[in-house]
Amino acid sequence: MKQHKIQEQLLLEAYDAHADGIFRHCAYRLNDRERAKELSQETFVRAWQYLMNHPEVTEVNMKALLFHIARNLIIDEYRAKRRTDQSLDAMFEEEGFDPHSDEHLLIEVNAELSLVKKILTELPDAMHEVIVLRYINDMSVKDIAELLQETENTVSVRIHRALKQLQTRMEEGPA
Amino acid sequence: MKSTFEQLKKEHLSVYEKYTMRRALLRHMRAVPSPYVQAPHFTRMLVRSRALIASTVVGLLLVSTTVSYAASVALPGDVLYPIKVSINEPVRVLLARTPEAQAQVHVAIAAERLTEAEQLALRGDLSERKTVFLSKEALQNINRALATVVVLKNTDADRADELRNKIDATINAHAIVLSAIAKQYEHQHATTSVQLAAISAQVSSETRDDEDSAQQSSPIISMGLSTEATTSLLMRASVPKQGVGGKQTETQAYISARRAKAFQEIADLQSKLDGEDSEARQRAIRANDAAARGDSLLSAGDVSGALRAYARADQSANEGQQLVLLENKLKITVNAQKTNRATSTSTATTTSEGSDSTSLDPKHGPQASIEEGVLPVPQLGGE
Repeated sequence: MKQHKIQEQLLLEAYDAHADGIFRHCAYRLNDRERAKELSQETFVRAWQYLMNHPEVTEVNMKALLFHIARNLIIDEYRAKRRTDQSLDAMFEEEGFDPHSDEHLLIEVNAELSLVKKILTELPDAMHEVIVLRYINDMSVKDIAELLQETENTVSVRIHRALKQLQTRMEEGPA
Repeated sequence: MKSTFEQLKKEHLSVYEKYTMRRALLRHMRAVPSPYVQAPHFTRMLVRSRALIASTVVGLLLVSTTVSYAASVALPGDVLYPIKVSINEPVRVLLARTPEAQAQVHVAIAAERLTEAEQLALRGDLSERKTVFLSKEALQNINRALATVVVLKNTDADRADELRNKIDATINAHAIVLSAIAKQYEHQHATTSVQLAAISAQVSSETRDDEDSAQQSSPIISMGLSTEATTSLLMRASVPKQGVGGKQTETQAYISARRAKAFQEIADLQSKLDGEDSEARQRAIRANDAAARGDSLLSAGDVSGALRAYARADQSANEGQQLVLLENKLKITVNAQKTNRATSTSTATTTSEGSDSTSLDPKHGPQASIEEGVLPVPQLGGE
């Protein structure tokens, strides 16, 4: 009973600390606020099941665990909706992506945020993911590399390319 | 770009959304059966009671073992000494399976009493009351062991002898130590010295008496001294009626009686001797030597040693007398056989020459003496 309470307290503290981050991550990855709320909820439920199945775990990196679960849920969501043009396997193999050259965005001061959100959703999913993790969830390259099970160098290159694409598209303006 | 990302970071759950999700999560966590869920109440109570009983038993065992161990080294007057005498030692006797094993435990307990007497004497704490108690306990245990020896003799003489030797060795070892301590305290503490000498002498002499009576009497009579008799003897030995001087006089009278008995037996034996190299004569020589040794020990102040020597002299003389009786009986039988043979030979010569069958009769001749019940001289044991 005491152990149960300890795990419960552990997850509640993690919820208070990372609920917004998880929600933000899901929201920018899915571009769907309501669905992001549901996936955030599901992320914490899955985390609780993990803790119950691993009673020996008393001290765990909850942030990494939560983002790992959220990422898997998002991948499942992508697979279900088939909303990406590129297969996830291809994304993980880092075989390059062809940006949609026919899209141009007009950057306006009062519409800057909307534009960025739009460009982000149009980026290849691998780039979209690292941009969200790095600049919206404030995760270090090392943490992102651990989460994606990639090398730090690969993650850095991917972030650099994503930023370059983002900047180019913003300069090009909305289509 | 940086400011844009900062703006994007402001995306978050509303307070209500966050609160609602938290409640839902908490409800889910409470609803999911925990792998650490407790057993039903009855089972839990059972487990708890088992654990309680087990821990109580272990605790009691630990405490009793510790107390028992501490009691095993207690001396008369210590707090734990009654536990040693009333619990530890009876349990040791009960745990011994065979009567022989029980006898050995009794011997060990008697030795323990004598050791306690030695330790108390060395500490200068051997009072009259303790002397009486220790002597009484030692003699009671020795008597019980001797009773087993007597019973065991009927079934297994070798083991009986072995046990008897062990008893003798134990008594002699402690008698020597007690005597030595008595000598040490002779000038410092006269009462203690006399008490120790009394214990040593009493135990040695009474066990020897038991052996004699065991050889000659029925097992029930030879059970050794009764408790009342023992207590009486020890009270007489250890409680001086007229101070130390009176005590010494009484002890001396006892020694004189033992000495007189030994010399009387030797004189009786010598009056019966007639052969030169007979076994009985050897016994007489041994008895004389033992008596002389007793005299020398007595003059040296070793009371218990002197008493043991007189007891040996007495025993040797007794054995010698028995040997004389047996030798005489054998001579009479051999003479009778010789007479019979001479008579039959002369009869055969005078009657007929073909009557050799008489002389060849297996009922006549050396073998006949054995068959007619005449046994060879028994080899009596040594001292």
